[in-house]
Amino acid sequence: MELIYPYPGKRPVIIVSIEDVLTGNRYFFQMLLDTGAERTCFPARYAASFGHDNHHKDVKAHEMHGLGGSCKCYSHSVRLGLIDPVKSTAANLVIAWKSKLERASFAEKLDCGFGLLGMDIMSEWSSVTFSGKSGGGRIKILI
Amino acid sequence: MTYYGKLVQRMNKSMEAHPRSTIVMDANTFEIVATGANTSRLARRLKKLHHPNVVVFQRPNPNHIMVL
Repeated sequence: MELIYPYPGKRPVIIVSIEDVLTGNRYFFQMLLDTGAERTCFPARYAASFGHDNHHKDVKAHEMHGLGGSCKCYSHSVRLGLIDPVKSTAANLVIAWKSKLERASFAEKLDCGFGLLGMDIMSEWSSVTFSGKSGGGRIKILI
Repeated sequence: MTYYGKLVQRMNKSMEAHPRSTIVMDANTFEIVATGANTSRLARRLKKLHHPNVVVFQRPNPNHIMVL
C-alpha cells in the first residue's frame, strides 16, 4: 500500500495517530520523520495529553543521547498509526497502518511542538521517500 | 482537496491564530476544543472533556533552527 502525505514548510512532518495501548484512546500529533533518531520520541510535557503520567511508579525511565547531551526519558505504552490520506473523511478517519511497536519515549529535553518518528517505527515500513523543496513537499510511504 | 490536506490547512490556520499556545482540535469537525500555554493544565482539561479523536499541536518557533 502506498500512502502519500503533503507537508508544508521545511520539515517533513506528518500527522500520526497515537493510541494509548492501556485505554484504547486515540489522539493525533505532528511527527517529524527523523531517520537520525533510533527511537521514536515525544516531548515529555505531552505525555499527560495522551493519558500518561511520567511520574507513575510503574513508568520506566531511561536516558537518551542527542545534540543537547543526555536527557531523561519516560517509556509509555503507545502505538502509532498512519492516517489513510485518500480514504479518510471528516466523518470516518481511516487508519491505514498500525505499528507493531507498542512503546515510545517521552524525552524531557525535547522541547518542540512535534514528536520524532524514528527508525524503530520506519523500519516496519517497506520504504519512505521524500520529495520537494524548502517551501514544502510530499512524503511517500510504502507499507 | 483530501481530508488530510484540509486537516493540515486547518491546523496551520489555527497555529497562526494561536502562535504561543498548544491547541486541541476535533479531528472530525476541525473545531478548536481547547487552547492554552500550559500543557499540563491543558492535559487536565482534555481528560475532563473526554473528547475522542483530537489533534494536539503547537506552532514550532519559526526562529528555531532544529538539528535533531
